[in-house]
Amino acid sequence: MLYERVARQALRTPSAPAVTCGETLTYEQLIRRADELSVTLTAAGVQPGDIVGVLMRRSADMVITLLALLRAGAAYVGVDPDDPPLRRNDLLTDAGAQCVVADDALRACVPDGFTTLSPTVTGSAAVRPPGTPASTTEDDLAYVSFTSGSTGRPKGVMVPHGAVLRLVTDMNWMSVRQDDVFLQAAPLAFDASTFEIWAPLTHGCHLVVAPAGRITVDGMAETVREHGVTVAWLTAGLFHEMVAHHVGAFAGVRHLVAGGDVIQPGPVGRLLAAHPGITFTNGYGPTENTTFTTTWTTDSATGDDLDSIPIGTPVNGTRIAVLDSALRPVEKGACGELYVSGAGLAHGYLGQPGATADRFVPDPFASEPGARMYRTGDLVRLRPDGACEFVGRVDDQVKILGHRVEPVAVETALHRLPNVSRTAVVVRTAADGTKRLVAYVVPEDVQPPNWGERLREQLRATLPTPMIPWAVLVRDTLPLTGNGKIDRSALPVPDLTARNVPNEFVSPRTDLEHRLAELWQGVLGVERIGADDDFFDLGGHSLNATELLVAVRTEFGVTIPARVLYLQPTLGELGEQLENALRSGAPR
Amino acid sequence: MVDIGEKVDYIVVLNGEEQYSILLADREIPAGWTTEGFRGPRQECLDHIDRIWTDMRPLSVRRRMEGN
Repeated sequence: MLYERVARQALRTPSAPAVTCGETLTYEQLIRRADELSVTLTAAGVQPGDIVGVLMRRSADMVITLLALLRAGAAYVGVDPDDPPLRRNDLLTDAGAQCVVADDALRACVPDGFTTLSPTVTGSAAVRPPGTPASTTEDDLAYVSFTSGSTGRPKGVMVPHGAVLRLVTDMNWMSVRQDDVFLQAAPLAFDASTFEIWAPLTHGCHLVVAPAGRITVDGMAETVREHGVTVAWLTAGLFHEMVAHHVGAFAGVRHLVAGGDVIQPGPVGRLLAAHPGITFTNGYGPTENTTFTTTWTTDSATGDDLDSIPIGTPVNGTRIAVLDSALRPVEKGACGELYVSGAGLAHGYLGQPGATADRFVPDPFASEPGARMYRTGDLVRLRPDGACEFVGRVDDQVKILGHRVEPVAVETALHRLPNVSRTAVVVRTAADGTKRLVAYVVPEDVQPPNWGERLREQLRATLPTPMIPWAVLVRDTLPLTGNGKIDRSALPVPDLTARNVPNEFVSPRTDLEHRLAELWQGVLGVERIGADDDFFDLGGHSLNATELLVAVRTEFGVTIPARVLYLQPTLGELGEQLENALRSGAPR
Repeated sequence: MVDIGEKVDYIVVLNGEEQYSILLADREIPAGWTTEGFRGPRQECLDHIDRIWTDMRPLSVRRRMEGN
């Protein structure tokens, strides 16, 4: 279904630009290469109904591979090359994948026991007639996307073709124009990529793939400007940072979509004020209902009178209900749990029938018999104008760097490590609104030296980065409530400190290192910074890296490119770069 | 604290695509759903579904795949 939609565009506008990542492919070239690769993959054993791993960096080849797999009747499951090997292995095993298409540079990352396929076409396929595409229906799987699970076992959400088509066709919240230029920046494993890739390709638009590697605000601004991007999706955190530092980069953008976490009204107001013609959408939705469930769109300078940004109204093909715990609709304006239904629903969680039955329940409000609705776990309130407002989570699932994280899953992982008796993992919100996981651990036996730091390192073997606690604090005991549960509200709040890195503390040596350490403290909220400490080990990520470099520019009048920080991430190294730049009187 | 969900009974139900789910036992069964027969606390119903729902593809997809 998805393949056919794109192939139809290729017949309609064969010479229109389809995908750019370095080179530009036309629709005709895109489809031809996908057809050829599809033949190669089929010859290598890929069959209709298979789920095939895709372990690739962002590239035109990645888009070609997805089309080729869908043409072969298979579904794709994006595997993040930056995930720990054990997790990659677990996800591919749970997905029942036998084959993994991997970039040549990532072949070594394919776990043992899986057949590695190359995304390049072998000689014979290019000359062989491509044959006919496998026939797929709206109920066949297009992809599997893994989300956090409360037992610690990730859940593979099975998304059929029909659910993707409901996302990208007859959109009631966006009018796609054929001359639109879309941006692809989300990891394939994250279902924002569904919108980014399939909305443009099913409409004959131009898809610009951001260069592989970490997304930085500087890099994002450059890509958007250079390629004349007109439609882009950003995670909430990146959106806030972009508006703060690069709002000018959106001058050519027609429609900006953000989501994945709560959107602050201030940046929305600033965006609209800077670009009066721009349209902004807050896109909300669980992976289980295919990327977007509700949207809220504005294109007027609503500015400061907004005290929150609603998540809005259902997208086409989706129904919502706000229910109490007995599944009765709540009174108008009252808070309840959001249930969603319609054509965007996933089939369920791969290999987890019980968990599926628990979350996908009979829909008593549907007109079609046998329909299901998905329990989102999100608390919302309906405003008088019919738009939904996000209130919070029913359980304590949180978003860290835009990823769904259940603290209990981190607790489970900690419990598997030796000598761990009790744990509690809680979310602490820093003054700037950044959410951080803090783990409290009680040892069974005597605590080894630097145990918290070592536990944190051990977790890296099994958990992806957003699930690694910002600090692991070792305690003799944890406070309990009257009925014996850990009293989370009574856990000591760390003074946003706990330098929690494996290397020894070396005091900053020069005046410049001391001044730089102060800037790190401001950005990271870490109590003391050593000269050998790595910015990213201390909790740094692409967003606060930008914040740091802006602070450096303000403090020292020197522009340090983000790349320098990534390559020289310790305080001492960055200090040296800064010193050189100051000495040579370099760029201001 | 006891989860109230563990005290009340649920039933296991399935729709025409043989997708399983659970429903509070005292609820009216929505159109298009039938009871599977199992009844018990929530977790026991989910464990039962884990055992019996062995092919999670919708029935129509299963039939088409097997027909090919």
